[in-house]
Amino acid sequence: MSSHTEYVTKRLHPINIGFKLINLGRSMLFPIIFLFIIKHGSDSAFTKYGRIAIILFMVISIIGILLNWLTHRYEFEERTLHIYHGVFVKSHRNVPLSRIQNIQKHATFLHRMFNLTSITLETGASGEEASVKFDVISYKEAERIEQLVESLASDQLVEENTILNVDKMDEEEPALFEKTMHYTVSNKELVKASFTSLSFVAIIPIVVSIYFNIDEFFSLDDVTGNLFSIILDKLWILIPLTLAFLLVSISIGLVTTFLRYGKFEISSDTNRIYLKKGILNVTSFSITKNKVQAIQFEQSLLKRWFGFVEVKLVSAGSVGDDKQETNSLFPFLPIKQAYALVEILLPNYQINLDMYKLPQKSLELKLLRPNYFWIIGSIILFSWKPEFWYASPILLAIILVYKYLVFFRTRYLLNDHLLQIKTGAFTSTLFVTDRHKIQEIEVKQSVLQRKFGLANIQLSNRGKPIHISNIDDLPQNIASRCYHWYAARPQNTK
Amino acid sequence: MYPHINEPTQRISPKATTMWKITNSIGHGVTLLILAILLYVDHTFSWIGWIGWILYVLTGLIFISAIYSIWIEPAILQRTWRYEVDDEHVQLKHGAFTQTNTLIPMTKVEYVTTNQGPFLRKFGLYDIIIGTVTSSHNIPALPADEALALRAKIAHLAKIKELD
Repeated sequence: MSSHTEYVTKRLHPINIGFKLINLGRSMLFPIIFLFIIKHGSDSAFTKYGRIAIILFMVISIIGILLNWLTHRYEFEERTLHIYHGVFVKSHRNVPLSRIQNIQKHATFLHRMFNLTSITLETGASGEEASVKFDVISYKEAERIEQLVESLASDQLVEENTILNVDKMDEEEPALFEKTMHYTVSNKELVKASFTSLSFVAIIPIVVSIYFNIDEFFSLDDVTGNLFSIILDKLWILIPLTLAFLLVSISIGLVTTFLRYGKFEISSDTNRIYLKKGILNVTSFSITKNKVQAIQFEQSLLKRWFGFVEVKLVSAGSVGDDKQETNSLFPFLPIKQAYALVEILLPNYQINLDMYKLPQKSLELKLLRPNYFWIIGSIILFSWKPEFWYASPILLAIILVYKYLVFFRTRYLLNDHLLQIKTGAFTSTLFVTDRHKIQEIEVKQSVLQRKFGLANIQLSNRGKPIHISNIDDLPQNIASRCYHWYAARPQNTK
Repeated sequence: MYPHINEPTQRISPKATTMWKITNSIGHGVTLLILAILLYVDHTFSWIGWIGWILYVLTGLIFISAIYSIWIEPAILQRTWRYEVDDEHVQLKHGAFTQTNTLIPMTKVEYVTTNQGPFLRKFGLYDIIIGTVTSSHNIPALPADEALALRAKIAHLAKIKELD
């Protein structure tokens, strides 16, 4: 496959200069207004030198921006991305494309007006050099980079998997980039999502903060006092008032949900999964299928009642801010659809929901095990405030109920090459990973557990942060079976 | 072990017991010394009552911990530590009361280093640290020649890489 091996060294899109200049202007806006407009008539030493300093700073910054743009180049060569930059200290950075764990694109409204986007290539490394980010790049170029990463990664797959047919290497694969759409969000689902996420409650802190902000400048105490007396006089006013408040909060909730999750799309091609969402700001996430470290199905209490589940693809690279939910297949997927989708996207993950519960003796041990938090808490309580003695049994009851729920909700299954673990007392998380993605296993047994024939297992998976999964108080024969199951992983590559 | 996991075969150096006795004595000695100084200061400047109280409780706890970690723990730890390195895996097992078995596939090993502090040097021993992407593991107190050979062996075997 040498068709895409034209190695061109590229500069960033010239509009980068524009964006940088706008940013510079924005950050210098206040000093400029202060020194040139507010202090217009003044000719004190401070304003004089201040103005000179600002002009100098601006000139140097602008030259810096231009030079930076001139020296910042990148090129794809073989399986490496080369990045050159630096005016005085030249730096040259190599990023092997096989190390790229996921790609994120984020286009703000401003980006989209000019058909631009930002793109971040995440590697699994730690530290500042973990990702390569292009702040402003044309959408077309971003697509090209994404395809380049994918095609080079898949080339490598063909080569390193010697089990595969050798002639395949010369075969062009036109279907490689043909995306199939698997899911687009409907308006009905967005409305449901808006209520499930309680987005309509979001208005309350906003209203409160606006009230206190205004209150700081104009004392509202009298106004509120008057309002209260009017309302108390005519209680029926409360009804339209509440209705109006509800209406406004619900519509604000709907608008924010639509802006955030509107146009949610899940698609894939042979090697890659693509997630895309947002109406004003568009966020995209894509990951090579074999770089998915694990899948996580998360359900809050509310989502469980509504029958929704959030599916997350665990990546070894950073997935950005947790709130942005970049790596999440739509956060409010109907449960059945979620499992079906996962099977289409990742045919390896044939999840079996018929999982095992922990045995009765596991509950016995959990309840028997001394709870130091409660013991120490009670001792402190009895010695300082004995009149509140009843807090101690209440705390114990809460702890015992919690332990029972943890026992009651834990499920596990060794499903061929998959390990499935479900945990959580109130919110529940089903973690599914492939044997090859597990980094290590640990089986632990305390003296008490030995008496009961139970053991803990702990598995580590790559991810940011590193994903540690535990099953506590598992029957010891199951624990050792997990250990052997992991040890017997076929060494499929040399 | 009770769960059916084959016990790793290799053991760590018997000198480890003596070494840990010395290092733990020093550690606890220093802590007790600091507490003694604090108690002395407490007495001469008569601090608020509960500070002295806490200091006495701490001293008592450190004393008990000293007995355990100087006279009991080193021997147990030395006796129960096992490891084994074959072509495919690194296996570790340690702990008398709480037993821990760890299995790391060779393909997941990222680095291996030997480490020697002043006490290890005195006894001609090395610690071996085996790191994966997610964590690192320490095999303590191996005789020098064994440790260096093991490091070379793991480094060689871990070159066989896996796609991830």
